[in-house]
Amino acid sequence: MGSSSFVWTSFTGGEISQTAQGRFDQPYYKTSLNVCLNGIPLENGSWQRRPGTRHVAPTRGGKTGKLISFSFQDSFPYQMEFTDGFLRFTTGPSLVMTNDQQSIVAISSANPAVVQTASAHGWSTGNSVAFNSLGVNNPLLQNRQFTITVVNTTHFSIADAITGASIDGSTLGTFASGNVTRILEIATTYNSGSWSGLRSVQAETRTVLLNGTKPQILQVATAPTISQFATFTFSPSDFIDGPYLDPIDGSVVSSSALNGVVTLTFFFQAYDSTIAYNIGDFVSSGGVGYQSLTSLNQNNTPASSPSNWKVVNGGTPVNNGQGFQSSDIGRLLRLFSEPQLWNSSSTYTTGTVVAYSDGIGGFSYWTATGSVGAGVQPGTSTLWAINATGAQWTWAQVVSVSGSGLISPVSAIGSLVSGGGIAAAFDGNTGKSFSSCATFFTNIQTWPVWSAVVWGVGNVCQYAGTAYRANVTIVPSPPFDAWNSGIAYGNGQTVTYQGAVYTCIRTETFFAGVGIPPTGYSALGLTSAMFWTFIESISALPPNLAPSLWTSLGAISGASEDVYVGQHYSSPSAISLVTLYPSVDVGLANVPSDSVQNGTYTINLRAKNSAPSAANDGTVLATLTLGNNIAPITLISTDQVSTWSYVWVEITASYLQPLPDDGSHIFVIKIGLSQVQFYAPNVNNGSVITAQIRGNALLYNQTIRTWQLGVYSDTTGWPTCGTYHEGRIWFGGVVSNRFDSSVSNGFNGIELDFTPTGPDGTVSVSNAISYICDGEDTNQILWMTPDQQGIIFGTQAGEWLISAPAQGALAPTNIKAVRVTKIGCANAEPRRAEHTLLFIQKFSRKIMEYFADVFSGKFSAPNLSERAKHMTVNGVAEIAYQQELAPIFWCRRNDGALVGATYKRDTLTTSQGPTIIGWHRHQLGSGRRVESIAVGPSHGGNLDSLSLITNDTNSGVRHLEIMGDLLDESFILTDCAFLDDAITPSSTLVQAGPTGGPFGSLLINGLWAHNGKKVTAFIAGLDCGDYTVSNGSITVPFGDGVSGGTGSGLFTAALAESFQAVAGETIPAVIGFSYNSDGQLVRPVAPADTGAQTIGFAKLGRQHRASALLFGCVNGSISFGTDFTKLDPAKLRQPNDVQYPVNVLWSGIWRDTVNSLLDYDGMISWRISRPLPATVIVVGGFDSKADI
Amino acid sequence: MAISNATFSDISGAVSDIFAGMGAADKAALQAQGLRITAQGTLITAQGTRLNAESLRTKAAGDIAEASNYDLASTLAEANKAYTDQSTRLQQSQLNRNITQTIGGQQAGVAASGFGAGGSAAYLLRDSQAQGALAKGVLAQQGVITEAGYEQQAQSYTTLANAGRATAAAEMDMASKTDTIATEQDALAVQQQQLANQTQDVGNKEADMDFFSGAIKGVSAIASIFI
Repeated sequence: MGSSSFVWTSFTGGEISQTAQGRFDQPYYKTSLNVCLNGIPLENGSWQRRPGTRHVAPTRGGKTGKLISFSFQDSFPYQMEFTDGFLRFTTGPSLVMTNDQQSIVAISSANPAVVQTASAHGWSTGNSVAFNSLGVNNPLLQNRQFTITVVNTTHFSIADAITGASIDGSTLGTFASGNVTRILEIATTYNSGSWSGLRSVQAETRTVLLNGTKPQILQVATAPTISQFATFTFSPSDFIDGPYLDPIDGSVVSSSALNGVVTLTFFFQAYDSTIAYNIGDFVSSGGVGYQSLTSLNQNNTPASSPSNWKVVNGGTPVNNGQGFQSSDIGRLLRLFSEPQLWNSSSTYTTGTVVAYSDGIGGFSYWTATGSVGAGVQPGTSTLWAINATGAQWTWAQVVSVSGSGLISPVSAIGSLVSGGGIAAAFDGNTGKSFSSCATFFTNIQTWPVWSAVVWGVGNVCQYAGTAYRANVTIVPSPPFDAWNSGIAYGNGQTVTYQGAVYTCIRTETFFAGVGIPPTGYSALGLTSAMFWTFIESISALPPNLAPSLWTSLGAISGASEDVYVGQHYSSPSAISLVTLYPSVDVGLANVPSDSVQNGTYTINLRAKNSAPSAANDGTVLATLTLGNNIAPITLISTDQVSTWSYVWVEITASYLQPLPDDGSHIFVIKIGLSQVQFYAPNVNNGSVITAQIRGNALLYNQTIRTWQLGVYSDTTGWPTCGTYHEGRIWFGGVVSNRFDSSVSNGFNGIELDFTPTGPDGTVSVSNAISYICDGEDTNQILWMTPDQQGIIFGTQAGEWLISAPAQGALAPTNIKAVRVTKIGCANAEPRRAEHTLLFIQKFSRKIMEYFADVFSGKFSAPNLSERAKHMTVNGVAEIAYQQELAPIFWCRRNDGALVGATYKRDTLTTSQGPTIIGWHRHQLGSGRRVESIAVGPSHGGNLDSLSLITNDTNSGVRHLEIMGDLLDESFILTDCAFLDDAITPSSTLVQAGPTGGPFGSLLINGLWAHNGKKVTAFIAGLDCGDYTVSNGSITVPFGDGVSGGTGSGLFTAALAESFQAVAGETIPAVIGFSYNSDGQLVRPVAPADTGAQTIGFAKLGRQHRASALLFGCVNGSISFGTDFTKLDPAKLRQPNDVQYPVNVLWSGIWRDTVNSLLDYDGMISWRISRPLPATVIVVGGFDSKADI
Repeated sequence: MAISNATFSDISGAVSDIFAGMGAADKAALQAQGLRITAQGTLITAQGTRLNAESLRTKAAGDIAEASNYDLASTLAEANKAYTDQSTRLQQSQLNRNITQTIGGQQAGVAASGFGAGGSAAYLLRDSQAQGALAKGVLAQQGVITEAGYEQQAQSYTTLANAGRATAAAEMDMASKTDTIATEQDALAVQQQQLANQTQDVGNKEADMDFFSGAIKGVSAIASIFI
């Protein structure tokens, strides 16, 4: 057996996957960890405990939300918090208020309590407020948000902002003095979770907010100062003259007037028997619109050639045959006002202007200078003078859509009676959330689907249609070694044996369990049961194959629903089509798309001339099967002639097990429609609209032969992503492969100017840019970001670079886009690191670093998660990057987990990996799931900080937290905040004994956010233990001042009062949730590390001792071992062997024996579990290996 | 007889007649001389008239020559018009080619830049087409204006040529008529010469008569003396 010592001098490799731990031949191995939990490898190689998160506030109403950074001024960094219908702001650890703080005169003892302000508050019912400067009084009001109901100008009542519960004034205690401030809340249109996809395209102090609905503009109205918060305006954007789709060949429009609000009627160019039409071409003949059904369709008079032409409406070319819809209101139109075409058989009077084809696609414009006879062509006589301004573009905005065929609702029928009831489906509002829709819902029991994970005794799962209950705790593959007859097991040591886990229960460590297996032994008066106790069974088999471990509870059933909603018309009507608008949050029917057997539902358009007896009654006019989504759905009737008194849509949805189980074991079936619109045939069908001419007046009262429809609308969608580059706003996401940019400096106020040309059609370099990229596929643009070479945008199929091929800025005439790589992106914003761009690969399992090779200039995207693939299990949903104090990109996973990686790249060559890539996992001490992350400047702008919205899955209340700073080397203990969602108390009170304890206590207020929760108190640099918050407060007893009690006796009234004695200073305290920070080396394998003569792989060994170079620890803060179940606290001793007190920071080399098994691993582990600091700089081991 | 009044009357009558005879002869001679001079003048006038006619013929010949030049200029203007028409068509054809090349180049550039033909590319192409059509229109209009100028020039020259020819014809006519006048003037001169001769003759005869009357009266006077 050889012996050796080794050191791990750097942890920058971070935690690597189990499957990556075989590459001990690679340099990165000697910097890697098997576990890096709640710890961060720093650039210098050391490992530091993750800072705790600071509590900012619950989100508005405690609802789920999204964070987006809005750093318009680094010294006053702001972040936006979006929740349903509201936008709030935070700056650093504070909510942004409205700068109109009110002094409180009194708070009544009524229920609800009424607050009286010293002066008129000017606030409104529904506003949110918070109290401050209450002293130690009214603890129920401290650090808590309330919703107000205004009584009069100086009085309002209060209710809890999260629960809505009234605040009983009699419970508040005596009011002495205080202030109340209003939280700045801006009402938004982002309801029902529609904020979840929000993107922010910031341009100085304004930002365009994108989520596929009409962009909103947030502007800083007044900049923040030391004493005042910023104020903002929030308004819908106003698109100016674009962007537009391409003109529709053959479609023409006539206008009722030249200016103002005009009626635009859409029809087609006249049929010409000399033209051979192609399939799809539109013509007008005899006042009827036709569409060609054949190619080379010449001299077939439409009215008498039904095999060649079909009758269509003038609106047919619009919206894929649906014509203009009410959702097109507000959509832009571009109209090319041209004079009449020159006609060889016409005569013209002086001043008449005509358009004359040049034969190669262009038109010139001519003015008659005298009376012009028939047949005199422009350009052949001086009777025609060229007219350089004979035509011009103008633009308009749809004001209303007439003749859409929408049948006015008369009387609603159906079975979607919940929510807003059946009438809600016909109230004209197409964008309602499920709770306001015409809905049906019912509960169905479900259980989690069995998988090879840990199942506790009594847990129920479902497998292959049957429910099973676990008879014992079942684990698939516990991290314990198999029982070894040659090993002496001590108390608490755990082994696996014959498919089960056992723990040794004897205290005779040296001899216990030697040769006595955990079960089946009985000899010499000794039995297995005397030494071992059963813990859990091991099985990775499904329940039906492990009947001894599971009890069948019988088949678990699904459900089939058949519901309907429709109209009863007093006058029977023919039906052309129906458009359904699902609820904007749930969709039409929440049939799980990931359900094994059923991801779709069926919609039938039905009709009858008497009342339907059931949803499936009547005649089927159309049917459609599709997956759940929130987009409008249209069914076109196969019978547009028959008239009906009753028309309805039937929705049949099958919910087959397994259904999702969110832990409640109840799946709520939800079917909801925001709106149902039935359309009659043979009307204008969206071919007539009114529009406001917003550009120059039309030049002629003539048919407009060239016109364009705006790209963006509620019908087609709005941008979902964009960027700000070279003074232009760039948008994408509506049309696949297409991007549009504003004119240069086209973002003014709420206006987004997309003017594509001058009025005469001239395209200048400053005009807007619209391009559709040629590619072998078409994909939605998912993100856009500026780069040194131009703009990079990502799609699911690859990454594109927009650049200027010639000298100068990007312009309509100087632009190029090429797909530079084909990695594929997820629909999540990329983040810019120091030299590279980080984005999530399309399967959400890889984080790619994207950069152009410094030599070749070609873009490359190494996979940063290559060695830590386990970090991205369940997929990465969101990333954020911070630069200081350590360069870290953070990942929020789809399962709510938070992981990160310390990342740095210094050399932009693809042949070299990043300088640092060290992954780390994080579990919040609160046990919450992370639902949103964002990085912005920390308060003061000197560092970056990570903000999070976390979800307390027990209460469903979301909290806004901000991660603290990594510790600098000059830190002191009171700087530490190694607690999650740590609250800084709003007030404290030193209480004399025996209040709260024999030596007195410290009353700590302002903890309402953690009410009822067990929290840890870290006060004055001391770990003061765990407490349960009651009525927003905890009471921490003082210690004896020697060694007994809180803080090893060091937490005393004198200590607390010493802080309060200093004017303006309060006792440093944070109250939050403690968490473990774990580190574990990978297996030492190299001969030099193991003492083996050859490679130390698969050789039994033991770490007799461990050592570490530590920084900033206190006694008891860190433990070492080789197994997290057997860690020993590192005893930090002075030279005289006396341990350092717990309020003294210690740095230096520690070395001691550790509890180590004889095994193949020998992975030195460490843990910090209390709210104390520790930085591990070097870890060493003293290994003995059996060299066989 | 004695000398009486009659004698004296006769004598005076005789003397008077003698002198009258002498005066009549002189008068007739003078008148004849005057007439001859007039005839001579008429002859001279006729010569002038002939010269004038000759001048007109010369001028007419010049006008005809000028008209011929105007004809040539008109023909040239017509040729210019035709050339302009051809040139314009040619330039339009070349412009078509340039426009097609430009648009084709733009389309190729757009495609090479990785874009489809819609959006800004379509605006650029439409702009190019519009500019091409405008350029073609301007070219056509310039051609038409130039052609119209040449046509007007040709018409003007033709008008001038015709005017020259008409003037020459009139001048020739006038020359002819002037010749006639000269001939008539010659005849008048002859008549005037003849009249002078006749006047001379008449005067001579009148003188002779006066002399004879005087002689008679002298005789009578003498006779009265003696009677």
